Amino acid sequence: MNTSRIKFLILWLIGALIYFFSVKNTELSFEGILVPLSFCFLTILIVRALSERYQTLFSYLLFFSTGILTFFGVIKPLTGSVSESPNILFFGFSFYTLSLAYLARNAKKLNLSDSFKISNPALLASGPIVLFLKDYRYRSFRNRLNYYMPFFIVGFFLFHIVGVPLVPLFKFIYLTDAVSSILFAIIFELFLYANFCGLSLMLYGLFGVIGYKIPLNFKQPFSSSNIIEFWRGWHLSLSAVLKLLFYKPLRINFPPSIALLGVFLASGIWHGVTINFLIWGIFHALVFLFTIYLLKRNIPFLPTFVLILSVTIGRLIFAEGDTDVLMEKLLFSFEGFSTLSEIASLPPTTKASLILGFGIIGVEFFFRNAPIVKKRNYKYLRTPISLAVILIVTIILISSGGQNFAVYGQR
Amino acid sequence: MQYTGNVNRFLWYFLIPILIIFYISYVLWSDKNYINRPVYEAVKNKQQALKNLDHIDGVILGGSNAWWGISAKSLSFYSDMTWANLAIPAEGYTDKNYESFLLETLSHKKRQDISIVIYSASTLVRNDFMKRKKVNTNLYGKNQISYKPQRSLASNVKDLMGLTSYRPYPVENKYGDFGFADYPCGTFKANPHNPREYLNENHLFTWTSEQLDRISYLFPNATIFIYIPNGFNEQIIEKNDHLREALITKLQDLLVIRESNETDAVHLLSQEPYQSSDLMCADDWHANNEGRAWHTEELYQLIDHQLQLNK
Repeated sequence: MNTSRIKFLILWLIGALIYFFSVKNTELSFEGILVPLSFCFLTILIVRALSERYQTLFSYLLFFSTGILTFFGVIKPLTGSVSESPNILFFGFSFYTLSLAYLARNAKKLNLSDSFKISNPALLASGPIVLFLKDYRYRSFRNRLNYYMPFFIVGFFLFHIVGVPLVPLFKFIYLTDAVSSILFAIIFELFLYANFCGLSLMLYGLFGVIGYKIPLNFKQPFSSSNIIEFWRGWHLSLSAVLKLLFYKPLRINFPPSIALLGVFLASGIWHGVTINFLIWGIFHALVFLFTIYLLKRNIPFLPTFVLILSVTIGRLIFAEGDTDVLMEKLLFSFEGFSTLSEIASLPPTTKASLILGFGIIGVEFFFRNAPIVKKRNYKYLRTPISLAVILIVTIILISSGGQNFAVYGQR
Repeated sequence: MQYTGNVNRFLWYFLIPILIIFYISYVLWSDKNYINRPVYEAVKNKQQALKNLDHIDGVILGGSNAWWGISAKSLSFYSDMTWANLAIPAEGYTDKNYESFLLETLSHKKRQDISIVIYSASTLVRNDFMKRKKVNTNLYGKNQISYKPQRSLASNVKDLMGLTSYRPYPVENKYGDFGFADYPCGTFKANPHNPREYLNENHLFTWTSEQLDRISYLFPNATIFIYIPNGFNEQIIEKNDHLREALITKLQDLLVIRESNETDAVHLLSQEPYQSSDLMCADDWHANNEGRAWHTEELYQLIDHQLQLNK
């Protein structure tokens, strides 16, 4: 066994420990980590045996496998509001098949040891999709601790203090009037960001401290003035896969508009073969193209307005898997502001998390041109003063209550 | 910049390590001193109250929806039998906890004498069959020690400042019923429970079979009624109905399989939803006094036939 295999095996074992430590309240099972490992191992063997042409076809099969399984009801569409995987055998399936699809496109570099990398149990629950795993152990431990530990602290804060207390607000998903639907979409966007980005930052920090660099999945998406910039900061590992598998090949024969539509539809299918994801894909492709049109004509402010509107409406569509209910919501019938009054009667921890969450998004958005925010790497949250404040707030508010779950990657 | 450097060093090498040490100490302190007083007292008071019943004919098992929603005293009145309400908050959090509660509360002799068990299983209408096996919470609502404290520092400070109002779950009578007289329900707020979006048959069958085996073991001479509880589902009634139908069909399949294996007959009942928020205590899952009266009568009508046969 060569060094890289041992290296990734050890990292896989560390990932297994993290998995067992972090998912103890949901599905604690060896199948959850051994099935992905075996699947990746076998898939890599198959990919290596195929000719280049079939490797390409196989990579698309891997990409669409998640969508196919949602179509047949084997796994759940990824609307973000499901906390439990219906089948432990598919735990993390959408992430590791995507990593395999990405790597299969460049199969010459694909080694069997990559199966340990791709199926690392710590990454199955929340990603990122393993596009790379760089060895950074040449940097001293203290150096790594100083740089990466703040990412972990910020992620922990986002996940536990901002995200977890928002779960009780999921009840608004059942309300179909305009105010409630929009309110739910905004809160759910905040929750998804806190949950998914929080977990991603925690893992980025943890792997960095251990000595491995993994993709940074979020780059302050709300430090954007239009939807194009927003997507440059949201779920970046997925964007990289979509770019390689769809945008680049489609651009060879089609104009950018068709390529973009293909990318967003593929993204929708990856989340689930359901009507809402079809609408979501078309909606975001059109918004993207419309923003390009506005930017080309130097129309001020409108791209930012479109960003806010499209992120909210996009999330409303994304979260509602029931087509009839979605159609009802999209009628935007006004029935008063009674839902807003419920915010006042929320538990103090939920109110605090709303204030903190929108505060962070506010800083990202309104100070996006400030030097410390501009680089979009959470530097403004990683300064010693910010970290001290974050730690103090965390210590004051954290408790074992609430529901902890990774909003992505459970299936 | 020189001063900024000093501040940063102070934060990095002094304040942040102190905060981390303080946090670890607080987690340990919190674990040692935490008690979920309302739940602890509810369980203890219920056990104490039920000691006053010399003989019990029927028991109600379940979680808070059964404790709030079914009156053992009224059932005793309607049926001319003695009923006990053994439902406790969150049904003891785990199946093991609940079993130990039942064993602790009722003697072997009392359990042998029980002829009817109504199990109002809210787990059936939620999506957490397996969760009850994996939650690390004890009977009184205390979680196993983890990297997070049992309760937030903010809540403890609020307690110290006298800003938290203690709200116990009262026990009304010797039958173990919930005491609404000492529990102001407050304004009703819709809090729709998450309807099951998929039905994991394996989990459903495994969990239900285990529950039935457990109940049969604890109450060997009892006829068992599995009762699918309901709430006030104004906003999701259609979706909920559809999902309940699927659940009932699957459960009936399971009961047929069990009967063919010569196990005791188990009856399946489904609760009608509450028709008005006026029957609810603050949320759409817990009845108030009027809701309980309506619900108990409805339940009695459902089991009356079986009760007549047992007489």
